[in-house]
Amino acid sequence: MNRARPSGPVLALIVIVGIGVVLLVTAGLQNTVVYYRTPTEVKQSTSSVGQTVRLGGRVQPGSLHDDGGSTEFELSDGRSAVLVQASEALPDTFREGQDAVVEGVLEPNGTFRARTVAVKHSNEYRAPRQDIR
Amino acid sequence: MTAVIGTLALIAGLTASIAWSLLWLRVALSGSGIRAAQASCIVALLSAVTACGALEWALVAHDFTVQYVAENGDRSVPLYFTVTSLWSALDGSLLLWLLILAAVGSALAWGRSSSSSPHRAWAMVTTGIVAVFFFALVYFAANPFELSAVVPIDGLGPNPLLREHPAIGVHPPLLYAGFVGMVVPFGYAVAALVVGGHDDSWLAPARRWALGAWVVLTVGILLGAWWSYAVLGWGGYWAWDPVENASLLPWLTATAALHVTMSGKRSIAARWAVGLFSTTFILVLVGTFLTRSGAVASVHSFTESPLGPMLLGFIVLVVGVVTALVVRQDRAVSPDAVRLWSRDSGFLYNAILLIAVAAVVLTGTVYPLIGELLGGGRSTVDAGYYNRAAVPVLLAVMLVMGVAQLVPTDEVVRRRMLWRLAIASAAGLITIIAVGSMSQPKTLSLLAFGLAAFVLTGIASVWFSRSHRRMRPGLVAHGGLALVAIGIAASSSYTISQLVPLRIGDSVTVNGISARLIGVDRRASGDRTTVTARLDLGRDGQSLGQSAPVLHYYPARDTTVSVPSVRSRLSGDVYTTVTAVDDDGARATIRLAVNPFVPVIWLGGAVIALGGALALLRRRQAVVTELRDAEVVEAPALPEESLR
Repeated sequence: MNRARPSGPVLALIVIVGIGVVLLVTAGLQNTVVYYRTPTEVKQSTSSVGQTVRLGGRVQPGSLHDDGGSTEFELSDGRSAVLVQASEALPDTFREGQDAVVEGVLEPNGTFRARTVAVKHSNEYRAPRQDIR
Repeated sequence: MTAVIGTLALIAGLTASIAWSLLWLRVALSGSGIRAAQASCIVALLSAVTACGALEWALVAHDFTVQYVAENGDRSVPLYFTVTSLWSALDGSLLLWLLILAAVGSALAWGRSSSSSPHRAWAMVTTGIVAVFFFALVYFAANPFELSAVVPIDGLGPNPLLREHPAIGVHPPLLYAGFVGMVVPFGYAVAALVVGGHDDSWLAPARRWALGAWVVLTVGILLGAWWSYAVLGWGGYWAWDPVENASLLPWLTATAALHVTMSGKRSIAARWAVGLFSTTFILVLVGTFLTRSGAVASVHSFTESPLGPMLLGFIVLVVGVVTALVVRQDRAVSPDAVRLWSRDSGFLYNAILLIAVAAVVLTGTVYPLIGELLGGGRSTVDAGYYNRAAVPVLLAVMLVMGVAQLVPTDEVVRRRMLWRLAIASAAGLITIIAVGSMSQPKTLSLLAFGLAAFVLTGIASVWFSRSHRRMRPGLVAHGGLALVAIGIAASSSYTISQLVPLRIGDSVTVNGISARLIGVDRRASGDRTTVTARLDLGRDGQSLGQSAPVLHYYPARDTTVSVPSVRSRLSGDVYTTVTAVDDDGARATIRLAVNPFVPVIWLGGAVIALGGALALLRRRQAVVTELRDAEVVEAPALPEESLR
């Protein structure tokens, strides 16, 4: 036992854990991968209707309407704009002219029903250069 | 002028680190010239100090001719956050990285540990090459001393999120120190591969360095979670964000390495240590690549700066060199066998599971990159993946940990061990039944409660036993981990929150805690406008004091930041955020959350780090006794060894 099969149990455990990891990863990735779409992509193809996707773009100035409980605004990538509806009042951190990412489902009529709305913070902590005066 | 000094310092540092690698190579090959080699490290360190000092000077003096200062400095930012601006953006934070790297290298070069050993010299060669790379990276790809094209009257100031909490002064430096510290064990691992043979004298200093870096990294991760909780306002402390994952990955493999290196079977310890120390440092590089090159945002954005390709090239080089050295290694030495049930095999099981967690987390983190490379479009993996795939393995780690910590070092007390296992298991099961019947937590949370009880009871049962006396620092760390598990499980199961618009005088109640809006103040100061919502907190008519969440508006960046107010009590936190305020100040939208047991997470994290620190302190005095003990343990194996 002590010497016969060097690290036999360890080897077996490595194999078992390895298979386990593969199973966990493949099962875990089901329905947890969310794709990013741009407004143009959403406008051009209907393939993302009914799927949960993230939509990123700039909040069109003048498009933000807040009627008590729900909010509407348009997200644009410069070429196309998609109407987004959110069922809750949005925070003050969210404003027109800023970049935002919404997660939700695209409805067949072309509006996007957002579950979450997030203001996009720069990934790199670096402000756009043109802001420097 | 400061920019010139800074750039010259970077060139000097690059030159010194090239000398550092070459001179230590000479020491490694011929054993001579140690003084010159040590001096080169000091020159590199002085260069890094000068570079950091120059940028700090430019920041404090508001020298907006330096572009980094123009982008991250601001005359009205408090001095503390001006100083911390050194690491509030990529280029400056890489300077901090250089400073720590040069300091670590110098400490290893001048340290008194076995100064003539070839392992130390090869470890110095390795750290030297890493230093060359990072000095080159900063100089060629991320030079913070580049001049502004147009000199502004005032700068933008640091990212607003990075100036809300004093933790930002210590969190990045500690995290970086933890990351960079892992270069030393990696250097020793490379040294062991280069030198070869049976000499495992390198393990002790490598482990001591890894332990130190691990303690610092633990505190760094903890402060990051605390900052996220106290500043970002979403009420959480961990989002499985790529940046967070990047800090957790090396922590997981380093934890595994610290365990296998305690194994009494030295040949096994050495082999696993080489692999795990190398993996840890490679994960540090991978994490830096993922978070600093823009690769996570999009595969296509990472080539915008030479930083990404340079880092990726270096990772490929490191992986290639380590693999080549492992393949070339002398395979004649067959490792000692381990028993199925022993303390040594416990270390290995634990290490395998920790590696599995790391593999799951790494897969989730790089999945969007791979998907995009394969043409699947940009994507992200949400927290559900990690909760489903990583958390079960983490719970398995706790189970193995709880059993392994009971395993005695000698045969005599084996029967007592089964008895203790029974008590600990009973405590775990009773906890599961009790908690499960009193409330309805999620399944994984319920398991976590049970396992925490199992681990804590096990610790209590062996704490005073003589055979476990030397294991006490480890037991402390295990206890801390159990506390963290309780805190996470409880807060993710029992947190209740409500988001409501309130008029002044109105109140909202969550879980018996009420918050009444008593006023909204608006005040302009410095470079920002601050709106404060004043709330009276109460429970059953008794006052719990006031809380004042705020919204800061920064005109220069046209950004609004919401900073929560957290009132910690023993049973949990009352967490209030103001998300919106009417222009006339008569109404504010308030989020009130009652987060039970969150303070337990901070306490547990601190206890984990304390365990590591105790082990570090104890090792110094105990190395001699431990070596003697190790010989005693090894003794029966000797006759078998000679049969080969």
